[in-house]
Amino acid sequence: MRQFLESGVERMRQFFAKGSFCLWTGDEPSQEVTARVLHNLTPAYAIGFAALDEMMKEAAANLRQRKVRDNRLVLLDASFQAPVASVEDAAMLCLAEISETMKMSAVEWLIDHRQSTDGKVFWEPKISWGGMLEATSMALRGLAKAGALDAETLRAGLRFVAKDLIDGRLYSTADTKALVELLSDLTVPSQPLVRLDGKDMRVTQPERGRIVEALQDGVLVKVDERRTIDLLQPKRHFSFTAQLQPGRQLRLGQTAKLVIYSKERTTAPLAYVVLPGCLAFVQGGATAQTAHQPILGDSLELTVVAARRGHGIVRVMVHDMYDPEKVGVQDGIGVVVA
Amino acid sequence: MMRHKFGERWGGWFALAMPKDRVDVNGKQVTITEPTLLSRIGNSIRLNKQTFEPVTLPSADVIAGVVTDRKVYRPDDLVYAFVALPYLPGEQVKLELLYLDRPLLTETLTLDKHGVALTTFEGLEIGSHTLRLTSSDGRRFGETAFEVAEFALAPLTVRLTSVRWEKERYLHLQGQVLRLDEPYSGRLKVELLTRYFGDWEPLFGTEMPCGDGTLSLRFWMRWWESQLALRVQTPDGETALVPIPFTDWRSRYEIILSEMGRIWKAQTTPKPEAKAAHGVFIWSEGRSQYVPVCLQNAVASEAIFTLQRELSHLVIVAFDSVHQRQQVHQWRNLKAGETVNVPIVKPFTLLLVGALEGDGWFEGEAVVVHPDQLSLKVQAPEQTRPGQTLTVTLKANKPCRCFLVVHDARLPYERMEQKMSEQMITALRNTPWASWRWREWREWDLWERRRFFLGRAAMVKARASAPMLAAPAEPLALYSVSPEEAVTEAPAAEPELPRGYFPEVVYCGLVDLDGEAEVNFVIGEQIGEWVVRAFAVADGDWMHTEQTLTVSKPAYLEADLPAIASEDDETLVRILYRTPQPSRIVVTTPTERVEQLVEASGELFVPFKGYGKVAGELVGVNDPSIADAFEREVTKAGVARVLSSSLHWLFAGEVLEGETVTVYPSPLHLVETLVWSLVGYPFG
Repeated sequence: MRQFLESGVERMRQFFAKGSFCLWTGDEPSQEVTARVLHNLTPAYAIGFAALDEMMKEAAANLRQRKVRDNRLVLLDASFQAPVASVEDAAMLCLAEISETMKMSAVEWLIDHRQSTDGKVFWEPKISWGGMLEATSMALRGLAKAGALDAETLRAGLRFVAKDLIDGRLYSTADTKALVELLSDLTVPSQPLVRLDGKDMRVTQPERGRIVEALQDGVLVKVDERRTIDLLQPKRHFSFTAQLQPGRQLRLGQTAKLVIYSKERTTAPLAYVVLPGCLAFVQGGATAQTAHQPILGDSLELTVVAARRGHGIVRVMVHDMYDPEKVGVQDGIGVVVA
Repeated sequence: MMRHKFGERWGGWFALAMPKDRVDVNGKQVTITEPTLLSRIGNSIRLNKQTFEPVTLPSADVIAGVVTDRKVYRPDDLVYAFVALPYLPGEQVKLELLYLDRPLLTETLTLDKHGVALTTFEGLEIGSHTLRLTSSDGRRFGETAFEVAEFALAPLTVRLTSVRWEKERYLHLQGQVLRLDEPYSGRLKVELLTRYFGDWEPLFGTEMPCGDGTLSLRFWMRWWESQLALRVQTPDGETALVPIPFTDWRSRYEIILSEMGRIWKAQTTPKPEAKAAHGVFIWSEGRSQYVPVCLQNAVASEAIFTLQRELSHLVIVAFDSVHQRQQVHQWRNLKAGETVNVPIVKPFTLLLVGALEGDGWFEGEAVVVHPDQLSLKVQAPEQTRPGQTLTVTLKANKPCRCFLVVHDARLPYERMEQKMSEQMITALRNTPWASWRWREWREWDLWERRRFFLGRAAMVKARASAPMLAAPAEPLALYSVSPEEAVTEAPAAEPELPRGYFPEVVYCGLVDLDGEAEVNFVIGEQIGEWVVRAFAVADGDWMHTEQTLTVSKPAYLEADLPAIASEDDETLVRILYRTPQPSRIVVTTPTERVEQLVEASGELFVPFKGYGKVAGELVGVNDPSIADAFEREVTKAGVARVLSSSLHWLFAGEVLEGETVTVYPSPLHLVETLVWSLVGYPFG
């Protein structure tokens, strides 16, 4: 595990320049990214990774010099403390070593800004990259650490946050990390009593079955099911255009360019392309029908070959690597190969 | 090489000390009783009042390579990454996986005693991936790229059997075009492509007839810069692309290893009468002017120098630039005609020669490459029937570790030996005195001028003529393989079950080889060519060998289907068949059933709408033992099968039911599961 973490620390060096962190290797470092990275790295501070400690100290000093106030960093250094202006601010203050009055004020802020619908509670984010899932996990964690989380709120919050984990995670690292932190900080009864597939038991290790009945309050259960998801259902939350050049009517064997223009600037836009059976990306003797590539600048250009006679639809999904809301799937480009 | 008079007391590699001189070497006083050459390599020399700083020779680039078993995978495929660093056995290296140019994960590998390692990656998502090999302190050794995509293999296979560069201006290609296992006859569109910012761009294209699968092309090339490839396409749209070996820029370097006597040169491109050693081809060409010592051969385990004149002092510094070690050899009072020997370490040793003769002294330098000491043979059947269990025999002359891959010949792949050759030629080129040139001098001007032109293809003058009637004089064979023997028909079998086992790779792994080893595997059931390729490493040597085998049967039918499709897609899919007797073919798709009587070989087209299963059956009209059948599936596009989970906080008496429910003793147990999911997540 140590080796694994050390390789992570080593990798962080690639994103560290001029005393700040950047999002991509070679990018210009930014204050916002630095604050976020420091927030994420705080649990790893001063636990035996000298190289990481050095980077963090330098980055923190850099932010202090710029008089940054950001409650995400209060666990690292109390001097970053700022007035509460968001759910993230309030949640982080609940975790910090601050006066009881200030902590209670943060708790009240969270309770006041709680929203609920259909038996779920959630909080609107202000700065979370992981959106409402991350903000809600942070708020629940803040309340839990402040001793102000009742079982009903926890249950309703989990119902909102953890209603659909795909392959064991939420949409991004940011929101999954927030859920992990929430679960880590929950003080709940351990080794609960349950009836699993008709058998009463005290749970001392993760147990699997098909039907579970809680024999006491506070039993954490994960329900899994295999299902298929359609990535190409139309969605309109990312504005882009896609064109086939020279046109939609191609001769067998003809090459064409698929050009995707992004109309929005987001952190890391990606294009996912699915070709119909009549088109292909030729790679050696292989005819590939999918591609997933970053859109660098404003556009992405891909070469396709008319591989079989027929007609079909070129489908393009453009989405952002970090923002689950930024997904666009168009109706597609009809193409005929004759 | 440099000649000095006695009055000149220092040169590039040596300093001349005389009996009355006050001499310090690395701070220690040295008594000189007769004229002596002192090595400056790593030594600080004070000669009377003058101080000469030590000369440092740079480390050679580490000869290293990383390849995957192939260049394209499906999302569920296992990716094998093979790493070879023959001169760093036992070391730890890092292999970083990048997805869409973003770091995904890093794995630390410990190389075995031969300097190789094999690791796997799975569960990768659709898109471009790169594997980057670095030392534990971050020095970059090499990288390789691969794609994860939904794909199908086209029935067309193109295999280059000969690549020749003739008279420095004609690129002559010969090859075979197969449709499944049969030589292709008909019209072909051929295009010569070049790498341009990661993409293949056409330089030139033409249409031509192809008879009996024979491809013979000659391009007149005034210049080229990047790797070339050949794209071949039938009128039915079947397309195959094959990179042309020895056409990248490194292949055009010609490096002078030694000018001490015979002039020895090296290149990565095969050359008639050149000796292959550690991935480069070495030959001698002409002689230099008078030198006091001559190097007999630039490929040797012991460099032998023959003296041309009487020498009072001869010093040879043998420098192993891979490990930064040196050994100084010296002799006194040698006579003309005598020889001296210097041991060579793998893969090559830099030799710095200092010689005192008459009233002057001489400095020279050479690189000697150690000969290969590893031989490797692979024996596999040349033809077989679909789905058979096969045995491949590997033979080596000494204990080694062998990376063996058996795959469908249509899969694009990368050659480890080519990477090693590239690294060798780069290391040789980076020696401090390296003298090298492009093979074609005249091209320099064009290459420089090209920067002022916007059009790329317009600058290229290429012309194809095919077939070529006679090879011009002095052809230079760059690459050749023995022609494949014609496929002979195996005896007919009993009616068979539908073929449905279509893996692209049937074996990939490391084989410990001590003399001979056998590997068994089941070959796939698709009709066509397969490649068995092996790359062995032992004690600083490496060797590659490969063999093709044909999977065939007397009667078959095979479908050229897309990998995925949507409800609205409609494609005309090609069914290729061959039968020794009149037969009936039945093809069933989710929406169609086509039945047809056929003879000999040919193709028929079947409309295919949407996605789903396609089944085909061929049965001899008069002889039911002539039979074949297949089942293939075209999956729905854009669909991902996932594990969907939800978390619940239960109160006493509440009941939950699901496909699988997991109850946790505490939230921390669940945290562990989530953290490992995050570790495998590509972004963030």
